[in-house]
Amino acid sequence: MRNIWAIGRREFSSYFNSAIAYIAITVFLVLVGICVFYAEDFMNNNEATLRPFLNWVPLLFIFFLPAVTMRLISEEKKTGSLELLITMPIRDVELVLGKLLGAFLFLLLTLALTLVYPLLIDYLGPLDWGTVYGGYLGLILLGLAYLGVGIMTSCWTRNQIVAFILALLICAVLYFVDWVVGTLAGNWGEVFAHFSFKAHFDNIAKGVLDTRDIVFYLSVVVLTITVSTFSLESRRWT
Amino acid sequence: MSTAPKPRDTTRSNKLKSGTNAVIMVIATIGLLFGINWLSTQQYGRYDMTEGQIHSLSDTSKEAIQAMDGLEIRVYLSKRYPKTLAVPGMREPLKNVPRYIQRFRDRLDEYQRNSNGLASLTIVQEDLDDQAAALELQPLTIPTDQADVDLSDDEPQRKYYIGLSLHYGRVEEVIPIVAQLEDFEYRLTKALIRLQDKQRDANVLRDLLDFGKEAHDAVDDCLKSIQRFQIKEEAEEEKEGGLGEQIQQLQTDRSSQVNEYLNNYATIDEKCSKVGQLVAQHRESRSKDENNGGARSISEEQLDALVDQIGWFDGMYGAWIASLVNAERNPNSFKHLETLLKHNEIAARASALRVVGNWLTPPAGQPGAQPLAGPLADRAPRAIQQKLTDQAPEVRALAVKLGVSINPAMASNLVEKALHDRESLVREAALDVALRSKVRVDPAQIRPFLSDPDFAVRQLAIVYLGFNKSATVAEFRPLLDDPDPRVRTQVGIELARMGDVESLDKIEALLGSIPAQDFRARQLLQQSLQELRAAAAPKKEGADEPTKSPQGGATPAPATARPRAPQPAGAAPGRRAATRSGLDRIGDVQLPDPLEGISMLQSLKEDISTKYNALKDSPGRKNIGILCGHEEFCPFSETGSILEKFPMIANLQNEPFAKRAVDDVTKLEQQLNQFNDVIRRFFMARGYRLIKVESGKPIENSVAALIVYGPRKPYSDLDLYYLDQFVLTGKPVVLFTNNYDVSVNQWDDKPPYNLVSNIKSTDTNLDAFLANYGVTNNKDLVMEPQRKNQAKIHTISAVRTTIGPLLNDAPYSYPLFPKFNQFSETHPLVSSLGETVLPFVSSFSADRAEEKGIQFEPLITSSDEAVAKSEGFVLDPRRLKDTIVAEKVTGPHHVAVQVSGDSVSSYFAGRDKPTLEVPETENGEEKPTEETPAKDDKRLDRGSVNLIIIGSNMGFECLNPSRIMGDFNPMTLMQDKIKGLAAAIPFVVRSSNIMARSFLGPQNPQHRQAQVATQLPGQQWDFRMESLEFLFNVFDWSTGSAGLAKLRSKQRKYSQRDV
Repeated sequence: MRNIWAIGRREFSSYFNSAIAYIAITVFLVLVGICVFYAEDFMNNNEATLRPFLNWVPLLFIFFLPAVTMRLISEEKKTGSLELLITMPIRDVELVLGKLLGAFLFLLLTLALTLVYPLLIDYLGPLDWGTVYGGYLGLILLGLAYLGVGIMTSCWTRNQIVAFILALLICAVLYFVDWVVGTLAGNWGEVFAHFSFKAHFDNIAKGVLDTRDIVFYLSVVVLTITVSTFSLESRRWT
Repeated sequence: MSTAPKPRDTTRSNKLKSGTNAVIMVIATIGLLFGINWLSTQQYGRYDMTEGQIHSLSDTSKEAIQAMDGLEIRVYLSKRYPKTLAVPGMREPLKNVPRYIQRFRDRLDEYQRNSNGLASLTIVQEDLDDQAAALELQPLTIPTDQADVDLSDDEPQRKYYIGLSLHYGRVEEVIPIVAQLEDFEYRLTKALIRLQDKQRDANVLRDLLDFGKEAHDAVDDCLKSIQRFQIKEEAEEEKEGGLGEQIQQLQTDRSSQVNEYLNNYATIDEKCSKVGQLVAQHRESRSKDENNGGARSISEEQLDALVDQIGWFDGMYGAWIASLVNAERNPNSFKHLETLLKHNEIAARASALRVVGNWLTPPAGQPGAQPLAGPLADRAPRAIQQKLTDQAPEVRALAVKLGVSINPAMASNLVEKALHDRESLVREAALDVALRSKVRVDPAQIRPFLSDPDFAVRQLAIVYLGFNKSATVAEFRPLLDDPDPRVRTQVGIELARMGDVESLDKIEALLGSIPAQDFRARQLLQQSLQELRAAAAPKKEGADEPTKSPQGGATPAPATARPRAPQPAGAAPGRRAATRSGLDRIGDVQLPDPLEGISMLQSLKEDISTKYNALKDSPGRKNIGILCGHEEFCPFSETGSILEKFPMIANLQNEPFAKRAVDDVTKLEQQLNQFNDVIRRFFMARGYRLIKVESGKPIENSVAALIVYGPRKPYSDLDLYYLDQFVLTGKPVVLFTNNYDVSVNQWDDKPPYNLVSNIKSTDTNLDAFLANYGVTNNKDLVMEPQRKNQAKIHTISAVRTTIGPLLNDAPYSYPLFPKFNQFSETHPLVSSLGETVLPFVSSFSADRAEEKGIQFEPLITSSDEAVAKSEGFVLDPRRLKDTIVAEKVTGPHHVAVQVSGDSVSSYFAGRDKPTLEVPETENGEEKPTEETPAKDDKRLDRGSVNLIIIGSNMGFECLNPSRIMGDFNPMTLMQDKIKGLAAAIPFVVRSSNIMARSFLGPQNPQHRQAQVATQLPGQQWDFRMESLEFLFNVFDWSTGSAGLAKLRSKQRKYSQRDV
């Protein structure tokens, strides 16, 4: 656990060693602002709701979070520092979890900065904070799943761009998978519908905490960590 | 020599082992996660974090489902769904349907989970089309623009269903489509509550419902037995032969079909006679019930309506059989006619009689029609003779007419006998046939009918005597004062024709009183008057005194050669006949076409099914009475026309402006009546059964709650008495007051095009009545000075441009449209409201309520900064926003209150019951009235009270034609035709109409109509939803379903915040 925390803390601080994190967060917040206030015409809707924000952030996450995770392992691989890490007394799973923790802290920081939106809306009108809690919990779980996918693809390649594109594609497919549900025959539709990131996110974001949604996101995280761990281990048997 | 180990192979083996282990571990992890996820879908928990738990079942829903042991919820779902489906009546399609279905099922699971195992949930997917047709589920379809994309070749299904039915004991409820989840809980819980009410009453009304079912099924069996003998048309083939042969073939086919029915008449009638027996059975029991007295329940009324319709079906079945017999003219079929002549239903007997008449005197031109010969020639006239004593006057009347035509020799005798019939319908028929067939009757026999109680008989007697020149002016003159205008007109014509100069003035006055629509009567009277004037002119020159006749009347003028038709002026008797109950349908029944008769019966069967469904749905149904008669919001169409009040408009018939006025009035009356029907249906479609309650009459027991919606005219003492008696029953009464008649949505047509506003105080006589119940009506208008507490008003102002004034719709925050958010936390009517707007609202305060044992509870209260004024109102929103800041703050004010008590004294305690006020005519004479107050057996001097008073009509205005056209004044047309038209006919107001702008004022009907229209969905007022929500809450609360008010509020939050 100590190892995980140490790696996580190091990863988190490493984001701020350069201007990239500042730029990424700023760009993200600006894009959210544009989407919410211009694309959704928030001020004219005359409704105290976080809905426009929650419509856009998951979509922006599809680009933003793979960008956050793309370098986590692939850069280590490319620079050779991964070998150095392996010589240390840490297990592969701890390495993966540590990296994930670092990215997750970064995600939490970013989301914390967006709290200005619900506070602003609450100032303008009566906001249902239940949906705010649900929305943020949904974003955290969804973000965690995206990060898991990002780390997994980062483990697969030493090229950051490839890792980014793969993660983006997987996240996008899993987010929009319920679009194709209607075209599938038999029970496959329902099975695929269960894999939809969006469907589960919508459920939580409307303010309903459902064990099915939580189990789903945690399953994705566990699966991506498992695959990532074995991907790292694979250097030993390839 | 030992062999050294091969490290390379070991490494490879280890790697392979590790790799295999890794793959196995990953697969195992995936499998494990799948398992966990599957388990999580089977056993899951939900926690609703929203305020008000908008995604969880409310207490009302839980209570409803937990009280229904044995409830079965059948959910009708298609096996597969496309991604998008078009929803009937909705512009937007339903998207992502599979996901929607999942959410829908989650909601149902929620109900089932909360039922504690009392309710069962069944998903129905087999034979869906048949079941859907039986339950009348509404199908969803693939949107037309996506049909080719979504529908694969191997998928023939084009209709999809998302509906459910609820079965509880003997009753059921159907939700035909669930196309949105926002209001699903409200709809389902409302259906559950309705089901409980229904089941409770259905047990009590079991016999009644069973009888309804038996009668309905009997009709079904009858129709099926007829349809069994329908010869199926063979596949359309190219028919050979010429046109003549084809026509002959058609006639042969037709004849075969008619014979097929007649040959199997016994089989058909075996089933169909059951229908008649059941109708007779019901009527017998109903007459017993009527003798016992007592109010009839809604279900009993529905059953009566059903049985009446079935009786009509039975009668038309008889008429159809008669038409079959008539078509074939087979003497062997005469026995069928003889049976039908004894049928229970008048329509059947009348049809059979008509056929007998046809056989005796075949209509000219009927091919192959021969008069009857042989034994039938004797039996047929006997049959008609027997029907002269039929119990139904309609049949006797027909028998008289037929008797005269088949036996002219006996005509006089027949007519004279019929003239002494107790029913005026028969007397009228006798006189009519005497006139038409020129039957000679002794005038002395006719004269007594000049004083017949029936106006049509009097009128025909005048025509008969006038035509036969058998009356003197002295006999006719008194009839100029007959109470019926049609009789006066007729006698006026006859006297004019007789040259009665003495009556000239009276006859001229008559001309002005003939209703505008009776052009023919006017024309006849005008012609006769011209002749009379011509005759009078030389006399006036020669002598002032007319020559007296021996009887004391004027000497009849020499009969001028004039074409005369032996018919009454106008269409009076005919019109009367058309409105006489049943005569147009029965006595004058037309024989149906033998083959098309089946479709007629089929169509009647559909009406019967509709009425049967209404009966099935009736148990537990509660009537919400809407009190009408004082210019309240009263969404019921009106009978009669305002034109009837202005007979003088007939004098302007040649004026195009006047014609236009009549056309516009008629058109607008129709529009307003239709609009009122639309509004009523809007509420009915949401499950509220609104019935009209006439003021000044006792309010029926079947009224569960009473709404008095924004009266403007004063209540008489008798009106108040009946209202008071209802209040004391403890049933809910909701009164929306309407202290000011305000209009802002107008504009001036002259520079500087300012807004024109009007305000007029109304007096309803209700203040003292309310004071009795501990409430003071402050008769003020409450305003909110803070903008956040103001809703917007949309004003129409004019902007001056080079091409003239252009209309501009400008919204302003308006203090007189105050928003309220302080509600009673305990009262279910308002406790769940978030915000509501009450336009032009007045406040109330308690008036010694405690002393009177009355509990006074404020329901809606203004802010502390509110201003209340009773005079000096500024209505223009542009000025008001400046002036209101200087007003003295007087808040808070209570703008809606409830008063309740268990033993409250009547407003009329210690006083006699008021009597009916007899209105006076213009001449100061008392107008005779047929209405007398009903006998008042159980007067209440004390009782429990449950009264809610709201200080605004919420924008719902009276849209009855009599109210809208209260300013109609055709006299102005006589003064200045162009200006007069605009002033007289305010209803031609249109925004593009120049004349429209010359009419400004609170009576503008467009404004009134817009005010109501804007409250209905799809319109523009900012607070329409709140107003409707509040109104629905009132309806739910008043019918004892207050819990639904909370659900509705939740539904609104859900639709706003659903992600």
